[in-house]
Amino acid sequence: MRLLSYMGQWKSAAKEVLDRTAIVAKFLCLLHVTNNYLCSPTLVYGPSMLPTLNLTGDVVLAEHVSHRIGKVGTGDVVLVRSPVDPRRILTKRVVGMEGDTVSFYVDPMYSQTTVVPKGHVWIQGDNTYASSDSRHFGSVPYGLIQGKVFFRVSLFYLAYTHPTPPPPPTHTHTHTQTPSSIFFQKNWFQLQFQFRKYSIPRNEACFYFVRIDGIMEMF
Amino acid sequence: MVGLIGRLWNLQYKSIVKEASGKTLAVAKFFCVLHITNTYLCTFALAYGPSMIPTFNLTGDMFLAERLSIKFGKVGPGDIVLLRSPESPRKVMVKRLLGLESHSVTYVVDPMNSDRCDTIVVPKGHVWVEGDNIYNSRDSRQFGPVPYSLLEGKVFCKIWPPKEFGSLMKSGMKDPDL
Repeated sequence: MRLLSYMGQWKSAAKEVLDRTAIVAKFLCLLHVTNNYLCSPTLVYGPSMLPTLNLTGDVVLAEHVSHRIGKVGTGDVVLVRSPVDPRRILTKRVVGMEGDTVSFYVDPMYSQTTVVPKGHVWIQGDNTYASSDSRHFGSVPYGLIQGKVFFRVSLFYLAYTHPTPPPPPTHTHTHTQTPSSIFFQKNWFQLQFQFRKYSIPRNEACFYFVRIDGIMEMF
Repeated sequence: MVGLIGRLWNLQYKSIVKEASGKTLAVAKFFCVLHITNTYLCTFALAYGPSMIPTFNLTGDMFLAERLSIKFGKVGPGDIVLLRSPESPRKVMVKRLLGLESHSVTYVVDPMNSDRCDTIVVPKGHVWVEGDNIYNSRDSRQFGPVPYSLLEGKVFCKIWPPKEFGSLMKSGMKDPDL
């Protein structure tokens, strides 16, 4: 008799566990679908996109719709799967689409020009001195693009942006406060989201090359 | 009187809308499950074209392809794979994998016109794919080694036409020394 009552309790407990697990599974499915097909926050780190992105890491929002409808173009920062290591995803800027002619420096004295083949893109990091990109492994098939970065989410401490009014000036110097005093004030910690658009129009992307060329020719 | 009819109509409308949304949700859930299975487990596809004769017909054969082996790196030379074309990113093609990274692959450059063979070492992170019908196939001999991430699935079973039903696991493998 007691065994039957235990079984009954077990059944209801198991049913409740199953229901809760189903809810969690559905939520994870929704999260996964959103991450893969709509928009996902991604942590990117490394020196190859300085000064656009931080060395120690930045959370960026990347959307996964544009590359499926073919709206990725020159000047976009994209997430692309590395052709050298299929488990890594790189963040680089698209500098040339198929059919474009790109010039790059293999060393400061010698530049090379290639035409991007059909179905491929040419990607380069913004920090050309510390980036392994298409200049090393060649143009990358368009199918390896995973998403396009459009926003950056960054955290700023109050030491850099100060909302409370400055104290009355005791001297004639401008109102400055040392970071430590700000830090220990009542509202010492504040999040600020900074949104900055990352796609640059086509003519500005060409300007990148001209600028680099100009610097190199000075050597 | 008009108010009563209005309230009755609202009641009916509400239940219809509720039933419709419930059914739509069930259908949507079913399609979600189908999509997840297709993308991460196993999918079936129709392949047509002359590049895999005699394994696949010109007019089209249906087969099952599974997606787990690619993610775990369990493909090897001799497997038939589904891959996204490096030349047209919207096209998915079926070819046979002949070499993984750092393998040395020998291939006939232009079998219609000459017998010249070439050997290449597949670079890191890439694979070499070729169609079974080397006379009429656009594959790695034209567009070079393909990055591993472009692989989408491994074909393991042919399901249509029924008289050619059967497993495709490394049985018709090309001679790797060719």
